[in-house]
Amino acid sequence: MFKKVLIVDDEPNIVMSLEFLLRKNKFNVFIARNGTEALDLLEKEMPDLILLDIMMPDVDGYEICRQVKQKPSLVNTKVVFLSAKSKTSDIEKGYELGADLYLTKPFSTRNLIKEINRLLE
Amino acid sequence: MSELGLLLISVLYLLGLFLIAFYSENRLNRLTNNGWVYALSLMVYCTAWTFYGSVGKASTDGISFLSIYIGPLLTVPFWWIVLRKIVRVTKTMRISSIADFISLRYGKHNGLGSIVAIACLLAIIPYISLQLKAISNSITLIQGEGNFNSSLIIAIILVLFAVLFGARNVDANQRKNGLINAIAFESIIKLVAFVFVGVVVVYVLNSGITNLYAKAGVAFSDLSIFSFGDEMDYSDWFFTTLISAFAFFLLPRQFQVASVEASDEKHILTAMRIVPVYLLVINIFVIPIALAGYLLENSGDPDFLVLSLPLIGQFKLVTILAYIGGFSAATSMILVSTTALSTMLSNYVFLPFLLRSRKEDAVQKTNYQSTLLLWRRISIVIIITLSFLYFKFFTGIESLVSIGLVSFAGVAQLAPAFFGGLFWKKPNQKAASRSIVVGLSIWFIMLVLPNLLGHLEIVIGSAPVDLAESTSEYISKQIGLSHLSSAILLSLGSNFGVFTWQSFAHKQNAKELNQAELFVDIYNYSESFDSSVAWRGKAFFLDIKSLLAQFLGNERTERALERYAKRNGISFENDSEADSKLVSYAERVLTGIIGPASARIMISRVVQEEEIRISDVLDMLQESQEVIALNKELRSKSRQLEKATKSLKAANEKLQEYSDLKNEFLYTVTHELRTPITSIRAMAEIVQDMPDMEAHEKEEFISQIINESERMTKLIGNVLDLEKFESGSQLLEKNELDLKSLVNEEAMALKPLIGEKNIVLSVEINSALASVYADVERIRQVLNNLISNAIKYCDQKNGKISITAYNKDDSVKVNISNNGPGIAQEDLKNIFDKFYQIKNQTKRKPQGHGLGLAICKNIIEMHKGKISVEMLNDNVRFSFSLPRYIKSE
Repeated sequence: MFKKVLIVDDEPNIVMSLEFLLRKNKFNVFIARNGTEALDLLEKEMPDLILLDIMMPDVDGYEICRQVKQKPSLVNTKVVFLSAKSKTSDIEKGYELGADLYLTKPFSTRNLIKEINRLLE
Repeated sequence: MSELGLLLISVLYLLGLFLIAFYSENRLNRLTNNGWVYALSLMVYCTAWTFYGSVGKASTDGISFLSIYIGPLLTVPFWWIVLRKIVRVTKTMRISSIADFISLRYGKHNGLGSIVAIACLLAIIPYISLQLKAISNSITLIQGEGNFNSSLIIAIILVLFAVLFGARNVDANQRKNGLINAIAFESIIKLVAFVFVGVVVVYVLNSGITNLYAKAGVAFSDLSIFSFGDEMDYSDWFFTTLISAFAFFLLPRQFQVASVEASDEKHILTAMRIVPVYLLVINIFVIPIALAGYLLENSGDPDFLVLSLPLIGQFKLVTILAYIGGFSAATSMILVSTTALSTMLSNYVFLPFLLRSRKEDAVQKTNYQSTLLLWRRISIVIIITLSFLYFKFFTGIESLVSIGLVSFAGVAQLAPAFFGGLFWKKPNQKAASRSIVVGLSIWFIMLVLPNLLGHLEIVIGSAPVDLAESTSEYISKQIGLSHLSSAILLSLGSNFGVFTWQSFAHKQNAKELNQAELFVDIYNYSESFDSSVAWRGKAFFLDIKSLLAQFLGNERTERALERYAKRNGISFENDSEADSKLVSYAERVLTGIIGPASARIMISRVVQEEEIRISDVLDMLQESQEVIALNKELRSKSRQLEKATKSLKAANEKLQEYSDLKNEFLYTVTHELRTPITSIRAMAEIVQDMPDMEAHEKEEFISQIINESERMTKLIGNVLDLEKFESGSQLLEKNELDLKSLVNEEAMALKPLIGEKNIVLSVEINSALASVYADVERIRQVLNNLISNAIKYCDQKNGKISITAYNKDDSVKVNISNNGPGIAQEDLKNIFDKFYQIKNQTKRKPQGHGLGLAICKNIIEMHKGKISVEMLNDNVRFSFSLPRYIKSE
């Protein structure tokens, strides 16, 4: 059974590359292009891991992370922030909300895959 | 009614008064501290003379009884000017009696204070005895001659009351709440009693006012009651009105309630409304009662009709009420008068004597607090005793009114010195002393002596000296006025004459000049007033402190000094020298306790005073005026400085804001660059790591890498552009520019994109569109940006874009609107800020990188045009206007 990964980002090229990357690495990939879609898919699919952008037009990534960490049904879901927000305060905020990993953009795809595999072991 | 019963009622009434006084003594609340209480306490003016005597006077002399109320009434409009000034002076200088006031005004002269004190004593003792007479007569009238000496018992109780509430505090300037509230209460009692008696007499005894007048009209063809009496002519009206106007301010009891006990200047305004009404109401029934008395045979002494009419009509309760009314009128006068007189007597007669007679050392060691109170209490006993004796031996045949008027004429002798000193700087101590002595002597010879001698004649059986009486009779005949009028004319006239003459004849010394300045220009000093201007000398702080402690006790001295220190923002050191301000403060505190002259003596003992010359005073006054001017200048300078500081602060904040913006901008630029780099890196890595990917996939990735690179290039270009515009290094190549064709060109250039999204585009350009003076490439950039935005943001299915352009005033205006989702009001304001779309937030507005509009704004403003955005009928409309091209350019 493939592990489920939810990509939440509004930047088409990033989504495209992440989707391609994950699929090639045998993951079951879902895509949300904004916060609202992400919350819907979380309910439906209960992914094992979320790749989460922070700045989105409607609901921001922090809020999504907070909701994920509050839901008992998503207790095993790992949250990885992928954000261009690189200030220490932003990163700390992400971890405070319970993120498992915070990677700043641009990131290395090799490193990302390695980290995802580690988190889902 | 038994004798004991009446006495019991009196005692009970006084006990009630005690309770009111006791209850309110230490409370300063809305009930005790308001304009009504002040106004009612002023009505201590209405004594037994008013309560009983008015009717008596009306019975014999008609409406002339009104003149003593008309006098004060005529002054009411001037209270805010005159009375407020008196109150201000009294309060700032801690004056506790009219003797203080006059002596302080004329250089703190003790002799003058004593003269005033004695004048008041001479004028008021008969007046107090008049009140005792009224009480005594009223008791006799109700119950007949009895065994008890009721008036003596009542006199003793009054002494007790006055001692308890009048001489309670060593600081005579301190407000006597209890006393004042009791007095205000008495004013209500006497008014209610009088009106009630009037109503009963008119409506119950005589079945209505019309009826009463009708009966009177039948009974008397010539009613003297409606005319001036035989002896009363217009000059009497004039003179009694005049002296009662003066008396309203100068009677010791009036000065006490109106000035010493005043707690708020605003209360004067309330009093100005209430006092006239009170005086009107208390006089309404005077004539009807007098008429009713006229109609009744054997109604007895007209002075006591108020009491005898209900008595004859067998109205027991009304009689008692009338008695209580008269009693309250009498007691209120006695209480306040003795309080005021005792302060004067102890401060000006006993105290200076006490201070001089003792050796220096003894004075330094004495604790004056208790001595002072003791003397004030002794004074009260003396005053009431004297009044009682005067009542026993010298009052007999005269009516209540005549004794009262003699008292008025006596205190009126203070008027020139008092009012002259308040509004005119020239008068000096000699003028004041001499004018009062002259006026008082004439008053004494013409009005008091004949009466005294007449009684002496009765007592010892023969007339010792007939000269005074016959002389004054002779003089009044020569003048052609009544005895009273000619006495007033002569005494007040010569008083005024001497005062004016002496004012011009003598120069003031330094102290007098100083005080004159302070009194007349009190409003200049009273706000900042904390020193008598002309003091010089050295004193040690400890000396001043121990001097104060002698009079105030240690605790209150500490408090007073603490207050002073706090107000002036200083702290005391025990071994330091006291500065002149502190010495003046101490002197003023002492003035409130022992009067200004004695305070001066006490202070001079601990202070080595330098002789002050008149030129010094003038210098100092000059100096203080300069200081005031300097102060003003300083204040305006400091205001300017404050302003400068404020604008500097604002500039600083602005700078800080700019700096923050710059940092933010940098952060945002790097942040914006991260997004395309992220895609580029991810896609490049994928292409590299997955050689087995299909060709079309690879192609897609690579073309996207190129797209993202372009995006980055564009962003960098924009950032650099913006930097150039903002720093002003971007130069414009301005030429005459035909906007019409430029707009069309740009619209055409974007046509493919518009067609692709099925957008309806309408372009309406005024055919007579003026040309502008602009850099064609920059304006093209603006148009391209605005139209691209419109395409991006308009409704995705039924997009509509409309472009209009027309001349407006001296400029050309271009509007580009689209039917997109709209922009929130708070965003409209900031939409032209660079990177506004992501500033301070975690949410992203779709597409764009937030520099386009900022660049547009910069370009338009560099052309001295305007750019704006608004919501118009659910459409977002961006507009810009550019100045028209002018040929000569």
